[in-house]
Amino acid sequence: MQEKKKQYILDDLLRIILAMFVLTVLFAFSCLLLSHGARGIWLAVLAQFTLLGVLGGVFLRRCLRIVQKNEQVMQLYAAGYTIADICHLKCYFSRGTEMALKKAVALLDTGKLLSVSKRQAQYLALQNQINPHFLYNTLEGIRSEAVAGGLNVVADMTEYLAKFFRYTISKVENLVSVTEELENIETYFAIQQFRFGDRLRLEIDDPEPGIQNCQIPKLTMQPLVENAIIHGLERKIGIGVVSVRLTLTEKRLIVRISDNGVGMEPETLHQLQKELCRTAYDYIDSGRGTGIALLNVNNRIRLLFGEQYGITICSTPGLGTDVTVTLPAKHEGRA
Amino acid sequence: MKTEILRLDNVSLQMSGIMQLERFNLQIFSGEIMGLMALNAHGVSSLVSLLQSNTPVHFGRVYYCEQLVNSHIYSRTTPNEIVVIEQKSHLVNGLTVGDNVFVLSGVERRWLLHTQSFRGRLQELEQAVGVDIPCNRQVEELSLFERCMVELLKAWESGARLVLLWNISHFLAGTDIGRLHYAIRHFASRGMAFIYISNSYEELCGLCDRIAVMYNGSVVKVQERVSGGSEDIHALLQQFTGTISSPPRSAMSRGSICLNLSSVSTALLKQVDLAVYSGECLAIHTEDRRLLDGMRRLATGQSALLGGKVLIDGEPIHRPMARDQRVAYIAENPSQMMLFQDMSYLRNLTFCLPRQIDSWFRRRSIYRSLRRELTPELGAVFDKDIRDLNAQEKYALIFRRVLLQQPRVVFFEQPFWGNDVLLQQHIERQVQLLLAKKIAVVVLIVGIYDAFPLAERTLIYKNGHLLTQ
Repeated sequence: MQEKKKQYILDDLLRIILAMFVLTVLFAFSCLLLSHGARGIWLAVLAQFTLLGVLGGVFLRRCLRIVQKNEQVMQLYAAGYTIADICHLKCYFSRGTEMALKKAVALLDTGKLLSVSKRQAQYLALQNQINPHFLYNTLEGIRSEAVAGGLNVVADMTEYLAKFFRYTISKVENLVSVTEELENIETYFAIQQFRFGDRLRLEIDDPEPGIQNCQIPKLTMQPLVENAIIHGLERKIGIGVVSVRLTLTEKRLIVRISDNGVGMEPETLHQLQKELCRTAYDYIDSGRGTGIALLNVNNRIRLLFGEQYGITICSTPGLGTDVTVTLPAKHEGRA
Repeated sequence: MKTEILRLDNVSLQMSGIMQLERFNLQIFSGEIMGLMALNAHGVSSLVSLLQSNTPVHFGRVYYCEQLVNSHIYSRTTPNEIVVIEQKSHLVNGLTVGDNVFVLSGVERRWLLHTQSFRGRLQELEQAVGVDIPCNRQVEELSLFERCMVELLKAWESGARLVLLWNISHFLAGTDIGRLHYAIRHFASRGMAFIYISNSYEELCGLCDRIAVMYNGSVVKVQERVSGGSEDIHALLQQFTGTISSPPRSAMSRGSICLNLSSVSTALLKQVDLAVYSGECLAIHTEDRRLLDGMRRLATGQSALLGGKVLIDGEPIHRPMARDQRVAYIAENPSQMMLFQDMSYLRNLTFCLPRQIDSWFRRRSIYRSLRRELTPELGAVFDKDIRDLNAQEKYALIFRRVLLQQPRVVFFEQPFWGNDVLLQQHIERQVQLLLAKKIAVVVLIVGIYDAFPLAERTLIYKNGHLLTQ
């Protein structure tokens, strides 16, 4: 059975205007032909306007009735009485409006909201189970034993690990300074260097004085550096370099993390770029959960600062990957 | 702290149903010279149009001086203060240099203007960049280089923050490019930003602070000038084009002298001596077009021989070279200049056959065998209209036509003019076909950056005289 073609108010309005225009022209022409003197012309014009008025009134009344109905449902939605009803309207204003309203309802799918809040609850529960002080004390104990036993490498590794955990799981602020983020990168890199040795190199441009105090979301740079090492440099033959460059303008802070690793295939890059452009809500909807670090960081930035900020990426197989993070230049104290 | 002049954020632009720019990201700061190398020409002209006139975008945001000027929701209807310098002039004919620079730039907002005051100001600007163009010279009398300089000065005077230079090396001579680069660096040091579009990596490397590589309407790599060398770009080319340029062949592969110009003089040439070997690729670089025009007119029979001798395979010729089947000439921009739109593909292909085909039966038989022979190489192009062929197919047609002519030497004028990197590589492959058949190729180039990779010998001429080999 063929689906009934949808009708939209905008289409109806356009038809009405076109019909009225055509009728006006026709009647004006016929009045000129049939008129007998000035009196005849005036009568013809009067008849024309009457007819147009009647026709216009009939059509417009039909549209108005639908618009009034829609208006009522919208007001109920705004007052919180209904959600799903806005995508069951008899007639939408236009196709775009219909699509937007349906999308809005899909985003507010309570099932998915519940799933997100469940994940959040799981994360909080996990965080509560890890007693930071217990962890630091244990690591300190391991470090002491290592020093006593003359195992300096183990002692250093333990110290870096403790420092890394102290930064990652203890502090709960949303925004931290660039200096702290860079220190965290260096700590993480030091841990990785125990594994990779001289095969890995980190280059951080000396940030200008104004950049050091800029505020950025916590754990913005370290996941990207981790990505560069694991996906880019791990399989690289030769020396792998991760470089971090920071640029500050009046309104923006731009962080560029580049590696000279294996890069990624065009199809993978294309898919990733597509996902980076999606809205934060689409990211939740995709069911990725904690997901890919790149998308996670991008999502957090866009939720915090808006869709005009975020991550862009370009990559060439065999040459490496460049990840650019754009943030607003915030110089206030901690949020 | 840097000042951001231009930012394109995930810009996607669609024109006539084709995505010209796709997730295009670019940032330019004040005082920076950003190079843009397009591996293929896709999206370049759309980018220029977008920057100048804020063409509505499908998605993304464009910021100029940190103000949003264009996005998928909003588009500023007024053009941005971005100046484009290209082969086409943007000066107003009929006016002087001073009028264009000071009056039309919108700087002077008075009713009565004392044009004498322009002279001093223009001289001051010109001294800083090392040029000397009289203020009252008419715009039509300017050379290409002078016109570019005047447009640059006009951009400076009008307060434009960003200047876009588009394929400058395609129409300016080598020394002029050097002087223009000096001027660019001068203005960059004073805060003006530049986008320099060129297909030559060497040219960009010598001037630009950063180089963005563009492919299929997206930026695929942004390289800092200090990091990475040309090996990165060659690896990039290999990745996107699938091939790398062949290294020049050794001199052992060339045969005997097939063309000898002995003290040849024409209206534009003075005592030119040239020897070209069979199967050799010879590049002739010249700083101005005089030598190039002279060689073209000689090869196409437009200039009479005033002195000297022309020998082909050791025999002197007594008629214009154009009438000799042993000499072929491929003009600049051959895809526009050398194809007959109203003729079929096969008619274009067989246009220069040694003997004209009068009989319909014979022509049909030749067409049939050409189809059979060339379809594996060229694909199903024989039934296409000439206008529907893409650039690569047109070049393939032109070179097959030359091959059918069976010349001994081919003159090829400005092979890379206006062509993107992919097309340049395609042209190189076509030239290799000629060289494989022991046909000598003489490449005529204006400018210093268009090095022809296949050339075994390079002659550099200055003022009509051989400078170095």
